[in-house]
Amino acid sequence: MSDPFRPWWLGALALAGTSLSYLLVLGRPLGVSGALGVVLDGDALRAGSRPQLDQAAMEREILAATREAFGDDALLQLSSSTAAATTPSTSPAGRSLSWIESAVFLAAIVAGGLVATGTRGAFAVQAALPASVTSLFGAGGWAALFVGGVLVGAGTQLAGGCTSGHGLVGCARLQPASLAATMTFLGTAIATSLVMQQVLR
Amino acid sequence: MNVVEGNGRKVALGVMGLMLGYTLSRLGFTDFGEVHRMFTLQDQRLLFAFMGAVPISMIAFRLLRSARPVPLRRFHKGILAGGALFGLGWALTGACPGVVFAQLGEGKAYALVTLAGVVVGSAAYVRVHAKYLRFDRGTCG
Repeated sequence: MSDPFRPWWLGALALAGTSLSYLLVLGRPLGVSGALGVVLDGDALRAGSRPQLDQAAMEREILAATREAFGDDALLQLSSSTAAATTPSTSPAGRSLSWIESAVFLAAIVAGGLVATGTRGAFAVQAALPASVTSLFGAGGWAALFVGGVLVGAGTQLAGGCTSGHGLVGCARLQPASLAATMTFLGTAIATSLVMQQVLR
Repeated sequence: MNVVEGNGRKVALGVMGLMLGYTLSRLGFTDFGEVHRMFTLQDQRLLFAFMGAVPISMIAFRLLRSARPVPLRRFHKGILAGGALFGLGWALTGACPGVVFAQLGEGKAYALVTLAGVVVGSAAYVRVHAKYLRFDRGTCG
């Protein structure tokens, strides 16, 4: 490979920087599979945007209804018990992405690939499977890509996140769910690849 | 730093997406051979890039935590099963969702097949989940 890839630590900085600035500017964690979920959501498309959950307003309404039904004593009990709840945040998370915003994000990733290759003269329309794929799968590579894609799509939606959402952001925040998800998908990918290497070569 | 609204969000998302796609491409995450070498434990460069990003982010997030408290993600039934399916697919395609989009930008037309699979899998799963499964995957917006 004549094209030297950028060193890993610079890439690490770039990835961290991207996820950090995303959180700062948009008020919510970066996640590609989430954006894809929105784009594929027919309701979001029809509505023009995803239904926005205004957490603060919802909490106000619930507290008001509770006071009305049970009196102020109930609120005192409520506030002491919710202190230990699993959601330490009482400030609403940044608004979820609308359909257009999700589409913009995904399209921009495509553009990123274009810029990365175009600026180095490495852009090339490749319709044939690369040698790295055919050496393992032969012509079955097309099926591998499609079936693998189905698994990636279904798996990331089921897990509620992918490499960015769980791996990059969730792990950095030490979320047990994300740590488990990341170890599972990395571990499975490694195990599968080792098997592929043994069986297919 | 303030959370931006309106068209500023679209611009910000555009910039973030561009950065992500550029980085994934430039690092080599879009190259099946490179990713396969990472998963077969022959070349750790990509793994170091990914793993290096986590502690850097961790430090930064900790510094910011007082400004922006974080709700805990639910550890639901789908986490492990979904992770396994995803890992299997990633080994077969060499691509995670972000990578597929970056590959398209690079001109890798064969990634359209991967994308078709991802779309089918995602859309089918969401419909199955809504009809039959009904547990909170933590993706409510």
